[in-house]
Amino acid sequence: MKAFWQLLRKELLAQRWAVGILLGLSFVWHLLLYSKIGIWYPQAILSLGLIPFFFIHLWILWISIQVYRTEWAEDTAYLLLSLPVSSWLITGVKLLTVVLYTCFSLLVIAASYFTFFRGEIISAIQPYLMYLETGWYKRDLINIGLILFIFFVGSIMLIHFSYICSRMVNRLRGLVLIWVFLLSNWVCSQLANLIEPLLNWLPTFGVDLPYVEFGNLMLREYRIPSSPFVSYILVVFGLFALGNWLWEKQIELA
Amino acid sequence: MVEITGLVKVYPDTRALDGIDLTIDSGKIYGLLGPNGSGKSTLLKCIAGLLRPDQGQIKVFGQRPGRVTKAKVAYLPEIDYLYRWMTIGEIINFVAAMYPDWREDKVDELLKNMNLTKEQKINSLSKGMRARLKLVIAMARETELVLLDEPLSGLDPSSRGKIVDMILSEFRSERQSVILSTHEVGETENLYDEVIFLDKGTIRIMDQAEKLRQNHGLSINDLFREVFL
Repeated sequence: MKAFWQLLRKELLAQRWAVGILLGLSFVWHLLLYSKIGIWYPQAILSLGLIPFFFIHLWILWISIQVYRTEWAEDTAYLLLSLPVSSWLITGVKLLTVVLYTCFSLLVIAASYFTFFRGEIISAIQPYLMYLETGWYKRDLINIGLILFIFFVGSIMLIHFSYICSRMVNRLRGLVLIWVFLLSNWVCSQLANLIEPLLNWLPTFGVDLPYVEFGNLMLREYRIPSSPFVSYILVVFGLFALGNWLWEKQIELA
Repeated sequence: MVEITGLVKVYPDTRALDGIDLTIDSGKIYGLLGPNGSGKSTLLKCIAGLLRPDQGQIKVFGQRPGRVTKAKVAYLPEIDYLYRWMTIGEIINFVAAMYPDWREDKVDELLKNMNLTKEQKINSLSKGMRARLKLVIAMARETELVLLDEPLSGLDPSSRGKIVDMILSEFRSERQSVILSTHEVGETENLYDEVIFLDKGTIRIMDQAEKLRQNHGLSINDLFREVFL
């Protein structure tokens, strides 16, 4: 357990400036937009305020690679690979670091957004507040959030797998990383499709998605089978396990 | 302790190790000597489990190098492999958490001997101080095998002296072996029980240091010069 906490502390501290840059830029952007309240259209300010939420996708991609790349760039891979600890511990902690920092960043950016533009947000959603009061979103937000979280963690696992694969070649590592990432996504979809029929017995779950019709907010329930998600998780987990095996048995430091 | 048979390691543009047969016994300090590019670092990396043989095999404590053997081997690479943004205290805590054979009681004494304090930041240390810190980390463990790859490389005479003294004072001859690779033989000459001359990936000379001195009528340093220069 001591090894886990030391590795986690090391990862969190090593990447802290990357989070600082993201949150700093986001704060400055929101501050700039805040100064334009009353000058620009409220809808434009609210829309532009969402930019950090889109930018965070690129940031996740970057930091997912960064947690591994820095180990080689700073030669600390020698220390990491000579430790007598399971590859699962090392890769798991790196995955956890990206997940924790992403969740933290999303929360801070969301808090910043709602703090700066609270008045504009309330005005924009005023017509729909009575629907929100019905509480329909509570269950659905959890379900939708869970689906997004699965794909988010799965994507990070595939990036990490791709990076480990790229360390097995001596040249064109960036190209190999991109190629393996694209290929692994394709493999995931193909294998998940193969496995899915075997998991048809798994329950479906409902999501009420809102839509606006003639100015009224309506809800429509969609029944979603859980088997595609479970099969996706299994395949991603399989590739992540393969990455761990490669880390322990194939990665070399020439 | 270490059994190597027919070890071959090939890089894309060179054959770094070419049929190495070697046995490392307990209780000795081995000098792995050779010019740059002779395969010293590659051999140590293979023993440490950071490189895999293309042919032949390595057994460290009866097992192929891997997670289990890494717990029993202290490896000091030539390059700076420590997290530079950490303090000495932080890197000590980090490494201590990973190795069950870490000697907590010994660390403070070793740091003091090397004129280092736990509050110092690694990125503020000189090259000599970083080399001394790496040695503290390698020697603060109760390991039976210590691999030191060019521990004196590019250091000032004062740091070299301290490192040689520490290797000598911390070596536990009753149950430990040290393999020290270097191409700077002069200052480490008196450390060696056994000497291995490596040249272009093959063993050129391997014998007891004392025997070599007697047979050739030369110091190891002079013999090294005669063989390689």
